[in-house]
Amino acid sequence: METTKLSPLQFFSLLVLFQLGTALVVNLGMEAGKDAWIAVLSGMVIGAVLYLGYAFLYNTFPDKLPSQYSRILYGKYVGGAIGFAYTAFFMNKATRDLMDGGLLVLASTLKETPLFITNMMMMLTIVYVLHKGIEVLARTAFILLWVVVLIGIIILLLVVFSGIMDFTRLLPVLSHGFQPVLTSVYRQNYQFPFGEIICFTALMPYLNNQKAGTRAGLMSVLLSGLILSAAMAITISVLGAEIAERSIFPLLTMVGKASIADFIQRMDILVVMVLIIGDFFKISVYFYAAVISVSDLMNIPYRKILYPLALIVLFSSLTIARNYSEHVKKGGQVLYMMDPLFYVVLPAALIVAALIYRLRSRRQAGA
Amino acid sequence: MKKVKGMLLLAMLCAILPLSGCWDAEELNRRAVVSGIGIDLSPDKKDYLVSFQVIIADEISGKSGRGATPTMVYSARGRSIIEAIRKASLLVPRLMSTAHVRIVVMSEELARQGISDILDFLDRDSDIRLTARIYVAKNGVKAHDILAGLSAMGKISAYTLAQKTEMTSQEFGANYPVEVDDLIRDILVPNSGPIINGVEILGSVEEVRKKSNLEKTDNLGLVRMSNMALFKGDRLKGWLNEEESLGLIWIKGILDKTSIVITPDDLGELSLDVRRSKTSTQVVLKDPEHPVVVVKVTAQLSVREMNSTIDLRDPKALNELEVYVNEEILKRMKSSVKKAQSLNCDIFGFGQTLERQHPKAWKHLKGKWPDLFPKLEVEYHVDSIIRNSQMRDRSFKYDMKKE
Amino acid sequence: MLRQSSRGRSDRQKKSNGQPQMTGDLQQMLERIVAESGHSPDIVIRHLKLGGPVPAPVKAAIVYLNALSNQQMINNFVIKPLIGLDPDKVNKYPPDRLMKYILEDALSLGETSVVKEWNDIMMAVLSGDTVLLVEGSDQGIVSGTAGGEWRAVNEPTSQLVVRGPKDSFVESIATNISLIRRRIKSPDLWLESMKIGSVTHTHVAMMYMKGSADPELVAEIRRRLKGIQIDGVLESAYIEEFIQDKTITPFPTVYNTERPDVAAGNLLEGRVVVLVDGTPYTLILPTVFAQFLQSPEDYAQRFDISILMRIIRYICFVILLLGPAVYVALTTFHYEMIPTLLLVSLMAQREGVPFPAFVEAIIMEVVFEILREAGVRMPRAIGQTVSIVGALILGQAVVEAGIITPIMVIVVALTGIASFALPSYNLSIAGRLFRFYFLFLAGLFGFYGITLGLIMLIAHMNSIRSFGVPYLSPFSPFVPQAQKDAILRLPIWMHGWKPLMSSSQRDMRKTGEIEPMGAGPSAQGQSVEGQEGQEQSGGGKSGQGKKAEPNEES
Repeated sequence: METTKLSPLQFFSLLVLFQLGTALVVNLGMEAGKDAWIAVLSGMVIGAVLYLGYAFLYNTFPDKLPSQYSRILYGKYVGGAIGFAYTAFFMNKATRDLMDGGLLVLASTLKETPLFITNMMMMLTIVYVLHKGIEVLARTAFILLWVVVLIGIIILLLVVFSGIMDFTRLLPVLSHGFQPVLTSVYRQNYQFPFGEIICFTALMPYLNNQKAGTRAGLMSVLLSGLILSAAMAITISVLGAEIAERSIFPLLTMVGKASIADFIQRMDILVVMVLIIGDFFKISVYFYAAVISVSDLMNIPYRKILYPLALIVLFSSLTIARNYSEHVKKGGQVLYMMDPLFYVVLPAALIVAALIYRLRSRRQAGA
Repeated sequence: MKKVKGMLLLAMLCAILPLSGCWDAEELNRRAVVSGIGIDLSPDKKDYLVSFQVIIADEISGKSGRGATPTMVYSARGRSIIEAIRKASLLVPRLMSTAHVRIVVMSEELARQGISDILDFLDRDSDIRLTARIYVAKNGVKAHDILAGLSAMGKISAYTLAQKTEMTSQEFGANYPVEVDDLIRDILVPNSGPIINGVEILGSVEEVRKKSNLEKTDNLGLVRMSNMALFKGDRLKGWLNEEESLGLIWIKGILDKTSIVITPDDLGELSLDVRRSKTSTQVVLKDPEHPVVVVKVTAQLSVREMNSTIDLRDPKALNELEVYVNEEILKRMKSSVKKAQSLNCDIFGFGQTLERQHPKAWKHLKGKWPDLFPKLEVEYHVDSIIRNSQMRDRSFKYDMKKE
Repeated sequence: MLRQSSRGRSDRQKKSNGQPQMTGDLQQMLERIVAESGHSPDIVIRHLKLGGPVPAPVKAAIVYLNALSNQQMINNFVIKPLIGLDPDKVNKYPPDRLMKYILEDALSLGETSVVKEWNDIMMAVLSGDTVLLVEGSDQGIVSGTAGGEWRAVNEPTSQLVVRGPKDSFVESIATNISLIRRRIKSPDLWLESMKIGSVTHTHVAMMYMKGSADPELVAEIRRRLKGIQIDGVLESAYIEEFIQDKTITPFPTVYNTERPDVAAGNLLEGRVVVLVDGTPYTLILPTVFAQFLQSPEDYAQRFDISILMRIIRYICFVILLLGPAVYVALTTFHYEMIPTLLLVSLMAQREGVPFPAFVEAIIMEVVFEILREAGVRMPRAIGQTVSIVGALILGQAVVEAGIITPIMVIVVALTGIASFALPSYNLSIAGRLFRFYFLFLAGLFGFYGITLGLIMLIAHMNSIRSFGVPYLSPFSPFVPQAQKDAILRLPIWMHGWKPLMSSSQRDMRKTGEIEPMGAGPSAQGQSVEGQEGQEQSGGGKSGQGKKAEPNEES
């Protein structure tokens, strides 16, 4: 574990960028059609609850990594197994996100460049920054958050002033009832992107202010939920649900439509920038969580293991799926079948054990 | 030492990168920027004949112009648009770059056959923007000819056409800009279809593509915006005339300005400008099986031309005139609804309005809509207000009458 | 000038083959002096006879360097009193007692001291002081008579302002110290002096405000200064390289200035100023990125104008970094973003040009760098003109010849002008380096490359520390109070509390670890949040404000 400290504000910005990362540009909640924005909001609520669960674990062991406290709670072997399971999970997620980012860049700008090179560039950047430590990552997140906010405002203004929004496309609300919303939430929305913040449990021990840090995390879930929901609402109001649900990158398509006075046009490259920044943080945090867990479990200094793991991520990103559809399909399946294990089931097991632990230690302290 | 070695390795890796070349970089002068695409059916109706209006940058700005035309049209044949684009490489020495395509024109023949095939390309392609305008070439004119036309104002004629569309939708109101995504949305609405602007060539099709045409003060050939075409699903079913187009746009509520001529009781003729107009459409369910559409229009006008002796200082006179204006507006809207109903094509989106305002009833009526629509009852409430009469209140004819 | 006996730093001690002491033999000592200085003609030895002729006059001599010492002072205040010594006392006292007598009663000079080490004698002479040696005594008396010529105080050559003081530091450290003292008349302004450079024995001084400067920081700086092993120090830059943190970065981590008002302002904010004899450029530590984008003029104007100017400077920095890169990215990768008519114009320009945009950009940028270097060397009067005219004419010719497109010339010129708008030369050098880096990335990967490059750059900047203070404070560890003077310059009356109010330490300070020299960039201890406490807001006077952030424009 490193000896640096993160401030709540840095933690917050890292969280927000992470959650917005890939979620902003793809189809969120489109199973619910034009009520996607409701689905996102519902997912946010559930996500907040999940977060509180993770925060509880953190508050029980404020200075221990999850790989450490899972061993405390469940013993060396089971706990270690849990730790390794999570490590593999995080690595997988990092790989998938790398692929996502690479595919986006491929689809929108660098069509001819080999995917390997695109991904390699991203991994190089990540390794460079992570080598400097988590604090540098967090500080960079804070600054880049402002950049992203700025770009977001520009895009918003652009879309508004192009007059292409038509809110009637969002009506009627809930025309098919709540069912599609629920399906969407169950399959996707609470996990992506909100459940994914479980990897931040590996970062929480670095917080220099426990209470404020926890609060910052909660705020970030709320904020990113609002932003994502608004983004989906605007996208649908511009494109209409029919086009949006067939689009692979609806935000991109939407921004491509916005133009002012034939002069400012095709600003979708700004969206790509936002996505690259967000994706960068997503991969970094997942990767970092994996690396730090491995380093803790196997007692290797984390900088040494950074490089080999990075290579693993890079190469496996190219082999995980043959084409985009397979990637998405696997993602969809994995998402609702396997991920809840990591987002809900295992944490629940840890939380229950932590409760028992707390009670026991209180009893001991009392006695 | 280890650190230095590591850095060296990294540096070497980074040095290799540029050696492999940049894959996506394409110099600007290697690109042929396409400003307009035209799609016709090939003579044997099996393939598409796709025409591309390419901008010749040298002729527009830059010093090495040869005095040739600022745009050039290339045609290629293919079973799909993308195949035609690639085949165009046989003719065009540069990379066809479609990111700046502003107009897509199709021939009437093709429109009658069905446009959904070509629409997929326009929807899916990442280069072509969704804001490209769509047109149907009328009166036997080929899309190719439209693209080949030159214009005096503005060097790139595709852009000029797009601007003409803007202008006329703003000034006259019988057209409105139709973009690719509008098309797709409208095709997907059941029992409805898109409305597409028509284009034609006024005068000689031959002359309009020549530079010599521009060297005279009067045009022998000109590309002209025309009436709008009505589609059911993806096929062209008919053309709206001017009155019907105006009515359609009025009902949709996107009218900007237009002009209305009234002849009140043989007291002469007045020409008024519609300055602002607001439309609201409501569906009222007096009877759950028979919804009634209520269209409310509020328009503000000003008198532009008067060939009459009416005294406009009298508010009562204005009120009377307003009645006539309402008549005119009503006439337009009625005729467009009649046309749509006769072709059983809900181009106004009444069905969607019903869905928005009475979702439960819609569920029930959805299946019957194709039967309901042709007999749909529409109520109109038009309220026009004549605000001003420019710089004079009475015509000079008023004084003439006195004598 | 304060006297500080040298701490055995010099090599001479090692060379003086086991004869470190002074003997009482005057003749021998004088001969040694002459021999060691190579019979240098500018060392003057004036023999004296102290006391009366009865019984025997005490032989004495004064040694001084005629160029470096103030003749007048020597004549009036050294030689005269010595000649006029009371003969009784002279004859009565043994040599040591005599020395004491002379020291206390005779010499009518302000600075006097006794030396017992041989090396100190040479040192003293070479510093322009006068050494009095008396036969029979193994001590010498050093009188401070330094004089010599140096440049007069006049306008600074860099960091010019429209409104504000126009004096600048000079090469004499004494004058420099006085310029600062004149502005801060506070007993809390402390001065520490030392000699660095085994051959040059350059006088280096460290100034700081007792109450505001973090004592650990001061201690660290002192430690680093004393640890310098070098033959000669000719410029403050030599010292800069030794004491700055060992992070590999083109960004400057030590601020330098020629202006006393800037130095004074920084002192008031708790920074440490290092002065080096022989150069007007003083070092200011620690520093953060924002400082390089501030100009003393910000305080001379109204605050709203200053805010605008500061924002413009940040934009200039971004233009400097990204200008050519964005141009190359747009034209070769992302032509869809360019408005059509502009695109047509660009295409027409490109028609006859043989090079791809990327190569063009590199050629023009390199040429511009050459022009700039040339401009710096030329005499002030024509230097600026020549580089500007050269650029214009070259640009024109190159366009006419059809080698480069006009738009490229415009982009390069804009970038160049943006780099001149930056108040600090050090930063613009760093910027100029990075623009090549971005250019490469853009040429290979378009905006993707630029984005990744931006992330790496920001991460890099975040990992730099200047004496423990993170380089991107007050943005990166966000200190809200410090925002008052970062990008925004709020009116002085809003700055409120001045850092100099009390000499007690501020509580915001937690223990921060100052990075030891030689440690890697991220082997940090506690995040130095506390360290920023000292970089708190404060309306520094016409000097530096706070750190600010490079808020990139997209």
